[in-house]
Amino acid sequence: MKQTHTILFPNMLDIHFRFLENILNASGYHAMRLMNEGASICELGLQYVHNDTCYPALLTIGQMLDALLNGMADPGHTALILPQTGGGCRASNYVFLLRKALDAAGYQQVPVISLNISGLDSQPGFDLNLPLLRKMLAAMAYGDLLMALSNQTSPYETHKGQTEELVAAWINELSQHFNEGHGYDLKTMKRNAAKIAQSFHQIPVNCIPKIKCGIVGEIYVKYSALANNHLEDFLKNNDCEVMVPGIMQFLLYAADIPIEDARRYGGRKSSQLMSIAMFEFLQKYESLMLDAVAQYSEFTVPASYKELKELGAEMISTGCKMGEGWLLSAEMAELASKGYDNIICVQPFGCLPNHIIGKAMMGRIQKKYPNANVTAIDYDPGSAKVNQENRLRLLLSIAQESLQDQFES
Amino acid sequence: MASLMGAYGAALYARSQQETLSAGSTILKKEQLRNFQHQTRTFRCKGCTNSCLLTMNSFGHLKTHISGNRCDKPLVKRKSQNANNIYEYKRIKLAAFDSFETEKKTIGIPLVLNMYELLPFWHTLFSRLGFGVTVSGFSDAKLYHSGQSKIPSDTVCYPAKLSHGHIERLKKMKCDHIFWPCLSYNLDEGKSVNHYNCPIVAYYAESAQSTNSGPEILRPYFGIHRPKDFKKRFTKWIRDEIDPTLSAIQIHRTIDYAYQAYYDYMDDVARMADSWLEEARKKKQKIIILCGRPYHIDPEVIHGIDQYLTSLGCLVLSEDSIAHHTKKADTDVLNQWTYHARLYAAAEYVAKINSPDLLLVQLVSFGCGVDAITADEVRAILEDSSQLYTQIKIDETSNLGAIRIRLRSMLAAADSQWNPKGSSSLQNLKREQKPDHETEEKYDQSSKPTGIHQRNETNPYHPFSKHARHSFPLS
Repeated sequence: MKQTHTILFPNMLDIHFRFLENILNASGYHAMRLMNEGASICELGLQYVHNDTCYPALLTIGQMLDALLNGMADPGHTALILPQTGGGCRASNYVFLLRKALDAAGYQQVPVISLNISGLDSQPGFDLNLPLLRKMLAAMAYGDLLMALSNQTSPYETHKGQTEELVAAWINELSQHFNEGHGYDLKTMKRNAAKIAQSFHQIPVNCIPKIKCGIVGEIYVKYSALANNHLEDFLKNNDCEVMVPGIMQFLLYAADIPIEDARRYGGRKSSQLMSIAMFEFLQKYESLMLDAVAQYSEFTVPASYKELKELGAEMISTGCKMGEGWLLSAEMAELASKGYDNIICVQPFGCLPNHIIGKAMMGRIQKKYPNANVTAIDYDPGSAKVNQENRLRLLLSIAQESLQDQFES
Repeated sequence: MASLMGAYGAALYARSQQETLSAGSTILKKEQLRNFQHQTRTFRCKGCTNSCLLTMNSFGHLKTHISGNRCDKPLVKRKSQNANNIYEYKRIKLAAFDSFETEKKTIGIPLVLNMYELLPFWHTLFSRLGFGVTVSGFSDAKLYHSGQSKIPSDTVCYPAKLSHGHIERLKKMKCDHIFWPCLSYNLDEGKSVNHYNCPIVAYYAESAQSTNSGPEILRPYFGIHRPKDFKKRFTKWIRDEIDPTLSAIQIHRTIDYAYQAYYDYMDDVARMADSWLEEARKKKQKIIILCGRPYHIDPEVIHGIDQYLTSLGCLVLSEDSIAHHTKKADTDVLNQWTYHARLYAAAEYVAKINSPDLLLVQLVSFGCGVDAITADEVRAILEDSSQLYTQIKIDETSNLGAIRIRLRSMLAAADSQWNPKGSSSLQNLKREQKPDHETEEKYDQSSKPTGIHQRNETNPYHPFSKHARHSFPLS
């Protein structure tokens, strides 16, 4: 299958997933990020998935079916990857819904690969071996670093487009390193991270104060431009600096869940050894990236997982672990505490955990951080883009006023 | 049945009946028409204080027809039959766990979400430890309105939104602490690969607390699925938070009692359901498995749907009361929630028995995300053995009009599906609507779809197609 099949996977984080595509292709797979957009995606999702299922499932499944139907991919030689987190949220069911949808659409022959580390589903023809996993995790770490730095540089750059070029250059260079079999051991990563931070530091900038926004929310809607109607672009076009918390914290959170569960409810130590090893491994990646950003005082350093957990515990118990769990509340607190007062919490309409960890926690955030300006935006096939943008404009006009107040005082 | 509603449907149905009925048409003969009499009179309904003005048309000795009514009170002449109802039985059983005081502190328990099943557990636990217990009791519309302003997210399901009202009510009642634990995991009943609660059931206490002013809701995270660990953690918790004087041995022994009380309650419900089920099957009485969640027994959530079914003479059972008849269901989706595993088990049971008298109705609370997954699966299990699947969506609206039509249509459809006499056209119509699996299988796997038009060739009545989703219209 490795030679014969093209693997399609949904696009989420632009920088990270460009890496992933390169890594998979260099490891002997034919991989392709799905970039197709348009109304037919949502329509197909509605047709083949229950219409009350969450928006990310409708979109990712719709996008894959669209690719198969529109001749972007040959059904006889295509495999599909969906990440599967497990846990009490219905997101653990996406892979099964995709399988059902494929069968219903007449693509019984197309294999589905579940990308997970908890062993929920077997992997036909896809071997997630250790070197590949290490490369992918290293790519996530590099991606977070590049995203954090470019988000803080590009709004202020003197020469338009310079940051974007730098990001692309780094992706190319690092992918090249991966192909050659280096660049993902801790020592080299540390060196590379320092170089990356330095290169962003050297970009000439013009420091006019701008509205500082942060995006939190359900992981797919937060990161995928297809799902959030290009939210980041919208904010950037409206002259904002946008902070999007990285994916490393989410991976740490996922690895931490079994450990936290055992701490709370009991369980054998032996069953968590895998999670503990993964957690410690990821923490090393995390700290070397954060250290690199901290070298330069002009950059805001994202909170570490440990700090986040403390911030989160002030809002909601860290036992709340379905979907994004306490991490989402913690990220809102992080943004508010770091001066990114204008927080946009995005979620699919009817997202079960987000009723609690998102919307119910906003009051508490506002109590603790009086400057916070939080809004919740729902995404689903029925919600109009213009309504979402109106809500954003309202948020921005409040933000603009407080920015002026700050400036005058 | 959608295809048989309306004038054309009625005509088609009448024609099919006419062919088989030995008595022939009941259309009036010439002689009868000559003596035809018609009288109209108006009067005030005495059913309630609205005193609606009704018009009664009498057609001689043949028939009377009442119009102008706004409910069915003037239409129902005979006293409604009252069949057995496990929902009512559960309500009576739970009402026995009521409030009382002791010289020790009083613990307030909101009767919300999973408390509708775990009340025997927590009630026994606290009362046997010597505490007083205050239970918020069943919901009503007034209770909902008292907590309405505290709801942080309005799109969550109605049973969750009601809980704010329960907290408000408890604050007015006498209690020292409000106790509502967060349970990520439910008890493992061996019917699923994992035994989660849904995110709302698990953590809604956090939402209730987020807008709660006044005494804090105690919302510890417990794992009752691991009794040994639970004992240790509960002991520590209750000593830290409520009463440091309790001895560990006493607490541990009481926890055993609490588990026993829970299993006694569940067994009792299941045993009652079994005896009713046996009796009803002997009598060939209609049996409706009204599937939902434990909290659907709340009168404010179910809006009397269970009682309506018993008034039609049907025995009403719930998914949890018959789930023990089948083993773990083999599902196409990830079966990982305790409550939802019972739905699949109940559906498998109905499919296995495959009797004209046994029907399944799934109650879905509006906004329930997990039911977006279970609905298709329950439907698939039933349709594999050619059973009807009926889903009813409920929220705070208490007008049952449309739901009654649905349920009556379902009973009529079930009758005609199983009764070969006089229902040939009905069956044919139904068959046309069913997903055509055969064509699906004939789909040439090697052929490559060439464009978007391919989509139109897929069967519009496929269970996943949006056209087929609501084949039972709500009104």
